[in-house]
Amino acid sequence: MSRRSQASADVWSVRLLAAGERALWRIGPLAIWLERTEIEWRLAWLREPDHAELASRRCFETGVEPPPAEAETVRFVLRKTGERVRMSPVVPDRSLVVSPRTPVLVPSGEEATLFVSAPVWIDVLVEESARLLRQIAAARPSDTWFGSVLDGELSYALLTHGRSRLEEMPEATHRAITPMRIHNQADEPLELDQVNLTVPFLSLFRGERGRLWTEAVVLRREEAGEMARLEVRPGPPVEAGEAELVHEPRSRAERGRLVRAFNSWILPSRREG
Amino acid sequence: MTEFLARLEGYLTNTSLVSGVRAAVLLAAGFVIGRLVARTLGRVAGRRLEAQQQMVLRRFVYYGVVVVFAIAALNQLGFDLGVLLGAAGILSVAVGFASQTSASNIISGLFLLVEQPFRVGDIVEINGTTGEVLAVDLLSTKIRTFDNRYVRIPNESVIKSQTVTLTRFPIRRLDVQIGVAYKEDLERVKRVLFEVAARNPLCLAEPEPLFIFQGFGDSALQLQFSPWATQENFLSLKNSLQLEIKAAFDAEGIEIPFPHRTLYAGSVTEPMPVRVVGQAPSVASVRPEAEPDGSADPDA
Repeated sequence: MSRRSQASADVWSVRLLAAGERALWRIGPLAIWLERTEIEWRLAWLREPDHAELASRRCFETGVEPPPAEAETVRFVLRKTGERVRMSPVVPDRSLVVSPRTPVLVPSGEEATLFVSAPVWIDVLVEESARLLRQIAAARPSDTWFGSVLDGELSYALLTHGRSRLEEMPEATHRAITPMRIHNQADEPLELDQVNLTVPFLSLFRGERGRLWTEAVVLRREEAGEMARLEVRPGPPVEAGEAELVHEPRSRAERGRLVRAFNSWILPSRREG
Repeated sequence: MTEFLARLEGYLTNTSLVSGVRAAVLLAAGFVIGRLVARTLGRVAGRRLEAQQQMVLRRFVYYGVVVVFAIAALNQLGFDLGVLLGAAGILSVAVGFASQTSASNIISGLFLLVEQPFRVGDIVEINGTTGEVLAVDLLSTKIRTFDNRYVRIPNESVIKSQTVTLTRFPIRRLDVQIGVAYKEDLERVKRVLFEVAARNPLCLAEPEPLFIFQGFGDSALQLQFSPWATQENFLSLKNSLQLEIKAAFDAEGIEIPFPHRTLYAGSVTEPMPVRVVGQAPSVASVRPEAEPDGSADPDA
């Protein structure tokens, strides 16, 4: 069978896949192959290390070569396969523990906005049957533990530049940006060593230039300590410009929920001591 | 007919028969009510108690109710309860002496249920046996070892010995003992180890891995590298991380030495003579030696 080859930079839209056709999506460091027969889906994926040079990669192709042997492969056998398939980004399934590469200090009574970009998970969806074939992490962050060794929460570790200017944010197909607005209302300065960002509570939007965004998160620290009030500002953040909803949150947050947001923070005066 | 009726009247007025029937009814009622009460209580307490505790509570309530009704039934039959209880006391002393081990196990089992050093499904190490707890019963604790053997440990032994619950806390530290050659730069070794840990997604970024210089060994610098993992990923990390450390050391040219032995033939002896053997002659250059009968070489 002769295959019509096509290529496009839009990786999130619905694609039609004829029986016997194989397509390839390249989303940042992740490559996904999907091959359709009348009764079977053959899904394969391969994740390269999350390097900056791969981050902006976005490509959809058909009539491609079979996936390499080292790709993870799974087959779905059913009565009849549909032809409309789509890749849909979704927020990570666990909270992120965001650590700035260089310590960030928010003085008492100040507000700061930091842009955090985290890898998304990708739903491989068949539109006709609304069937989710698989959810694949575009980049697998390292596990980490937030809290004490006796009682804590399994999260993903995210080392970030903690950029405060949007223009400095690099293009990344497989990452969603969360504007994190920190209000330090306590009397003491706050050194951001680790911030727990509960991304499963966030929706995903596609903004201008195809960038992925989540809602802005406000962490309001009212008194000295680890606790902060978490607020999710509904709707896409202002920085996203014109944006459309791509995915609902994985779980619903209680409004004004008090979360343990800051793992450790050291006052400069104490550190010197 | 009248004779039959008279006999029936005789039976019905016979007090011993009536008492017997009453006793039987009481006993039957005891079984039914005991079961009902135990089940209801188990259901009510179910939200707060573990499965094992529920089971023990149900059994105690059931047998308690049955014993009360049985005593009432015996009372109906005209037994003197004082004498009966006295006899039971003597009997219980005799039974107690005879079943000392069982009683000790039962009491230990009760302590285990209250103290709960481990629960069903935990991975424990008791008396050198490591495995998954299948049940904590009144007499014994049942364990399935990882090679799928069924081990029954009497509760008395469990109470008396040290038990290690490996799955009590959500995360665990993996201690990897590594020896590197004396020539290696330890800062570089440390950097390589931390890079390996950072690349492995199962290795927790926090708490940070621990790097300990254990000392100067016979043949190697002894190091301990201890990253953390969740309980579920502990074995996977143990396997993957050590392979990755070996690969990273090979790639970086860091030597993992094996024990070195130097032989001395005594302090005053001369250096050992070493005979250097030349290259083995190639097959073509070897001429077959003459056979004993001298007929080996046909060209000769």
